Amino acid sequence: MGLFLQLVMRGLISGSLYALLGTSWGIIYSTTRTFHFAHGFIYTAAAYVIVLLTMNAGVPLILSLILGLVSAALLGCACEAFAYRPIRERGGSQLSIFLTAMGIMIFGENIIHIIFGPNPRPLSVFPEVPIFWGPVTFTTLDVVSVAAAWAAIVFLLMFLKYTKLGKVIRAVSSNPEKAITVGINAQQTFLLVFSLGSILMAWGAFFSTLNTPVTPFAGIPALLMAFIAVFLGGVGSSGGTAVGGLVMGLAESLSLFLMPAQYKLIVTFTVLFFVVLFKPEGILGMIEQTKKEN
Amino acid sequence: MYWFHILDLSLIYVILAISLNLILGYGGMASMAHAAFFGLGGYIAALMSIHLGYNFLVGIVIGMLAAGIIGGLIALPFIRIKEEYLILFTLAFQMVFFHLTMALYKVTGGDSGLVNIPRPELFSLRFSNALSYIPLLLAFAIVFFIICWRITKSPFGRVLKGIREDEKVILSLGKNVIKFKVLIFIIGTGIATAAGGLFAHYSIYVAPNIFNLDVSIILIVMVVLGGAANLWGSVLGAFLLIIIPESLSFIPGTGEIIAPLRLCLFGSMLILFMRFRPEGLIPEYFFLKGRGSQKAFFKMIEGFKISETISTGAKGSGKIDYPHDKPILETKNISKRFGGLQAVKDFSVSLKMGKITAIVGPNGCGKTTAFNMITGFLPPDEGKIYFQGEDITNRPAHQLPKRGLVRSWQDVRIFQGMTVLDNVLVAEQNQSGEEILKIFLMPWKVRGEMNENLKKAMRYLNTVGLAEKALEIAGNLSYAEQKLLAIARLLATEAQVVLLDEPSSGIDPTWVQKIITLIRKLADMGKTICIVEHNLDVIREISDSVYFVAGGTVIAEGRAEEIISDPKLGEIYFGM
Amino acid sequence: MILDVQNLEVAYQKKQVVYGVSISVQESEFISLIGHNGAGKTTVLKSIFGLIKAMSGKVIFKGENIINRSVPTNVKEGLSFIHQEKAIFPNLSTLENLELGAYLAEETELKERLPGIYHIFPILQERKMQLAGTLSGGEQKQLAIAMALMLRPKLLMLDEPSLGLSPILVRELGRVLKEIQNMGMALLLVEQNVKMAISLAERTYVMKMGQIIHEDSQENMLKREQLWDLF
Repeated sequence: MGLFLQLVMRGLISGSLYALLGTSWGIIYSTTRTFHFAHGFIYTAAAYVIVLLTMNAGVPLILSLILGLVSAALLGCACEAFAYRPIRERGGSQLSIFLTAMGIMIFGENIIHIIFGPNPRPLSVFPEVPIFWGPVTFTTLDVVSVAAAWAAIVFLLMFLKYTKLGKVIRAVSSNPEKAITVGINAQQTFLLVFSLGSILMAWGAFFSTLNTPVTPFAGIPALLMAFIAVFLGGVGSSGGTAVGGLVMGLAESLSLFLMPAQYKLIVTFTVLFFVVLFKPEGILGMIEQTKKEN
Repeated sequence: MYWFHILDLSLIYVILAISLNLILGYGGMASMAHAAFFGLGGYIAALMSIHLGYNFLVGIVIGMLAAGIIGGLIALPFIRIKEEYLILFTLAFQMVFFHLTMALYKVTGGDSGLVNIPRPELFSLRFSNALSYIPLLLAFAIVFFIICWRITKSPFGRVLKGIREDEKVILSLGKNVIKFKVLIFIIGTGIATAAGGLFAHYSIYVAPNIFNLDVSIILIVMVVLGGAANLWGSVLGAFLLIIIPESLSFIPGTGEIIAPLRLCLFGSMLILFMRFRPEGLIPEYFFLKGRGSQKAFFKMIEGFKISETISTGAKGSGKIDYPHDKPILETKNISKRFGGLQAVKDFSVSLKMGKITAIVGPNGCGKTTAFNMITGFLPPDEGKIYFQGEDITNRPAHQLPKRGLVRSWQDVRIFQGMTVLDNVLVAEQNQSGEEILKIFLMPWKVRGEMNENLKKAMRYLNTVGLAEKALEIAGNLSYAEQKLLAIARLLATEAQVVLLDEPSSGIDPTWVQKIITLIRKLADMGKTICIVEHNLDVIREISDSVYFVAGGTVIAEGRAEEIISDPKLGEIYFGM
Repeated sequence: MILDVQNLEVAYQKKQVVYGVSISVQESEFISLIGHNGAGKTTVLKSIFGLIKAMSGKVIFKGENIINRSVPTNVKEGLSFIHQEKAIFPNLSTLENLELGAYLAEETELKERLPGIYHIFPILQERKMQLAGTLSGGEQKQLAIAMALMLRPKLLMLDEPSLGLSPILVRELGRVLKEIQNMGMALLLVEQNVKMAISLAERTYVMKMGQIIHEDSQENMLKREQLWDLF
């Protein structure tokens, strides 16, 4: 029983991170319909900025974090403005945009590899003090990470629901042509969404790196987790993505009952397989309107 | 010695690139798992020959079978649902494969992989150095190239192009899109697996990092750079992307970072090409027939002695055995609601065989929605649809043309990137050339049919008056000519019942006359026609009976003159 | 003259759809544009509004040639357009839709306008928290018009608003449009419902195959016995 609870706890902890990563990618995908594969590069780049500033340049942690978030936003916007938008404007297919995103991803990660080397870079600035709560053990870092993840998700949800900009984003997501018709600048909105998504991804990268040193290749696994959370929970529903992330975390963790740790990804894969097979709109998602129109 | 190795490696990557091109370029599907299948083949071949001592060919074949099964499992559910899931899935599969090869170290040797894979043996020939492998690998590369070539140049390949152009329309012409996509996916992965087997016996060493995500990505870059939907492009892409990085390694100081440098280079090439030259180095239509071969084509056509129309008694007139007194197509109280809007309600029409029935009504009265329900693109909420007495209410769209029911589209939707001739050829039904097995096992039958189909296609083009434009790219035709082509396309399906959605809209009176004449010709062939129309002249001239539809339901039925002169209906048509 | 379109030529998806169309609308005038499906009416409206690029011609709005000007600028200057279909944000509430209609207005203007809008369309106040996509067809049309009114446009262009409405609702729609005209706005109505279009408009243009083939006053249009021959 103690083991079960411990695994559930670990599942909820990692699931919270997946929820955050998923939400950060999901907002971009559902608003701009872009399969932004380069989002993984944003993760890695932000982590490196923070690590290098803090550990190598002695910059105070908070400042590094802020600079990390800002660089993420800038990078995300650069992808949209210089890479995706020109293709969209000339009528290129979704596939073309995806391939471009992939190009940015591998270019970016490998530049980091060349310049900074392949070795893991730790961000060891947070004292991890274990906390014992009955049969369950976790650390102070875990508490902070989970709180930070949910704070960010809730912040995004509130932003979308209660602010004017949030309404604009939801409008563009709901009906892009009508949004233009009421005078919304769709291009600017896209940039806003890319910034928001990138900042959230960087936020996740920060807490993840406090826990585990970052390597140039950290982006793809993080991105994969984001994708799975979104498609599991339902595209177009940020709440669904959050739930999807938690489900993933739990499934992964509880699978340790059945098989050794190396097979975690296979479990996630299998859960995704069956959910998508039987409930394509995801656990909480709405079938996108475009499907109905087709 | 070193360059022989590079050549060998390039040949293996050529096989990988052309097989990925089948999936990505011709099939339009982004697979991130190609290296995983490469690896699957490598490990299976290695294990087969290390533990079971089989000849290397056996390992390759078993690998291909495994790929077929796994590829089918991955592709089938996700192609049915949404393309993005395929990207996600193949990505996940690639990562899972990598993890498995690392984790199952008892079988796969884990991180260090498997070594001492036996060298291949073929009729007592042994291969022991890089040079000796060249003929072997070249032979395999040529065989696979020919296989891919045959597939892409066949009617199967033509359907793939149609899928890339306009999936909905190709469905409405009777092609089972899912079947084609899954098949090409399985074939592509099967060939990749074979390449894996060859690799295992060449390098006598397999390990996880040879088949990881980076490799999948490199393969995608090879295909995109070389030219999607062009096999020679993939050959070029494979050679270039093997040779260029190897040449880079001669630059001093690059030793350690050669791997990431290579990937950086590929990443930037991908970005630049997608932005500035998405069609790749050798574009799809690089080898399009020039003036010279066009002349040759038309000389050949002359020899066919094409007569103008297909007589009503001839094969292919769409004549079927069905009693003339029963309605050949019937809808019974079909309804459809979209959210808060009831688009169609209690819609009941019946088409008499061999007659031209018109459906008129104000815009937004539900005519197109009704068409979409009849032709399988929209499931009715209520009601039933009968064709030749059979309940077709929930039949998928692609099953209807071969039963004898086809439709045209309001916005024409011909395949812009295909030639006029190909537009018609692709619409023909029951082509053996669309079945993979028949392409390879009965090539003579396929060839014979292709010639027959060519003759038929030219006849259809002649009937609509587009024969001289057979080799033109359809996108270059005028709007009116495209409408004619759309009718030729429907003729080619040889369907008995033809539904035309606003055939005369958007063209001037001379062309409208041409369309009217054509529709009459179709009726003279014995076909049953249903047209949705706004142009009352057209309706007056050719319809045998008219349904007046308003508010999503049939309000009146009768002969054209009755309906048009009824003042009450006029009121409704022009506003209530 | 609030709107003076001169010799507008528009191509859409590689095909020319509008050939030398000229239309004029006076301040507070109600103009209708009728014709068959595919005649090019929607393209004309979208081109005036800036959603579709025009090839040549002049679009003079409030004295300025606005041809191919950006949509937000046009909206800000008092030009409004309502799509034939999907004219609302289905995933947002009715109230949020209205707020978005007033996107380019000041916060205070929005608060001022709402009561007036609710007066014309009381059902929208009733359903203000409901998701717009779940409203009935008629309610969605009302919402679309209400959204356009939030900015008090000088000229309101509507693309077949009667589509899918029952006869009662069509009459109601006509009444509302007249009320809007009485508030001082000019209207340019594209319609397939000819009777409705003619009975509301002071002048009617008839379009066929991308060209204006007829223009007449309300009096003359109403006198016509047979409308069929116009088409």
